[in-house]
Amino acid sequence: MRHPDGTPNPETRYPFIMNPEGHARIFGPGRADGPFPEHYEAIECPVGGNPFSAQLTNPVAVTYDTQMDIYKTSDPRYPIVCTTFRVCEQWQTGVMTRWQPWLLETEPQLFVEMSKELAGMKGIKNGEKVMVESAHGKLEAVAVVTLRLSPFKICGHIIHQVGLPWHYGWVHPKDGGDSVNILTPSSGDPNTRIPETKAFMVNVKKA
Amino acid sequence: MSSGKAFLIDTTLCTACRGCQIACKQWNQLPATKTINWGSMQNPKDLSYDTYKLVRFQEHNGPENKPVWYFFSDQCRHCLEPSCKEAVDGEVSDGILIDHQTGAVLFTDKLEAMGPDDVLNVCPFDIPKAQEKTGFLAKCTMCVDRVHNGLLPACVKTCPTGAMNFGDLDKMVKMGNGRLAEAKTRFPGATLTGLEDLRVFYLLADVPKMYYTYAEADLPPARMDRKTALKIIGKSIREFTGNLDSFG
Repeated sequence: MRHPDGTPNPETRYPFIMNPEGHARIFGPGRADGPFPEHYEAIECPVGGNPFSAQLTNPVAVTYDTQMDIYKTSDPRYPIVCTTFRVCEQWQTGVMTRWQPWLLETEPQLFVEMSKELAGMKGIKNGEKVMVESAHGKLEAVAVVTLRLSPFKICGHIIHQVGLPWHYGWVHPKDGGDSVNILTPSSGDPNTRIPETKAFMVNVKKA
Repeated sequence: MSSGKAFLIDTTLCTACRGCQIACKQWNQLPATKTINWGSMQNPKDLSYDTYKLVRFQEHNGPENKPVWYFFSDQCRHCLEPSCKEAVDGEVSDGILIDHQTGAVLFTDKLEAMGPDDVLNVCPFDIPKAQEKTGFLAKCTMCVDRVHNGLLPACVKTCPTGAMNFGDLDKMVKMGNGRLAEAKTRFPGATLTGLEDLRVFYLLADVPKMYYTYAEADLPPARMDRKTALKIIGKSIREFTGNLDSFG
């Protein structure tokens, strides 16, 4: 193992710190969905079938069955894949960092990143307020039209993706925007119940 | 070659974490300005009386249609022959000083005796900014207070990637040329700007205009009003004839 500049670094260790040897394993006994890795689509996804197997989604994923727990796969009302991420200027829900004026100055509001192609199709201009809606809720965000996102071609279809940071919501700042948890489905991975907030389905339109 | 200090800003190592931007506000105790997301991560939108350091963001379609995201950590270049000082000298004595130890270009309180326009119009990098209410001017100080006490400027101290560097001018020139040679293996169009006449050298992976309009000196006359241009020309003629006299 080496330092970034290439010199040896005896202090460091391999990244899978929960395994004694520090490496990933292909055979993982003891997991609810093991022992071999398998590709499943997200609980909400843009395709009707899994191109790798007959099983579309993880059969042991944790889902809930209240009225709010509806999952929209290949629904024409929610055709766009959505992901959530962080920015380095805010931390987690932003409940501490949004009260730091210098940090808030650099990342003041909820935004939604989208490709030029999607923005063009929807008539959305960069910096404009747009509405993002899922089967679970809707919120307003500032459109950031960027070259860093581009449409995917998935199973012969053009699929668009948008992404939002999840640091905003509640009382401060007044114009900061809502929590992205409003959009995300309640579903959990089979072992730890970590919710599936990184891939779900939405629609976007001009506010 | 002139002595004193210099910055080397290696944009090829910058991740736009904006630590420099915030460390600058912290050391100088500058307030946050009210911002909105305007369709860019660049915020505040521009330098101001309360913002001396700003990371500018630019997106382009790069080679093979892959996007490139350029980050430009903007600040006063501390010119060896600052046009702001030329514009002020003769109007207000000691309005702008050059610190003899570091070469930092410093605005003083005496500058408040004159309007901001003469200074605003001559800077080829669009750096100084006036306070809206008072017209008082402010910009990067090179953290001379820190440097005189053996510390690095706040922006350099906080940089986690090695993009911001500071030291003796000759050492920075040497480091810049070394980094340029290295960068050229990855970015054939890499350039190093400011070596001849500035104390801030930018190592850029692409042509300067791809980063920011004023990444490189925009010729002053494009942004200068007639009065200021004539004054500067007048001054250099006076200096020239003065030099002739001394030969006489």
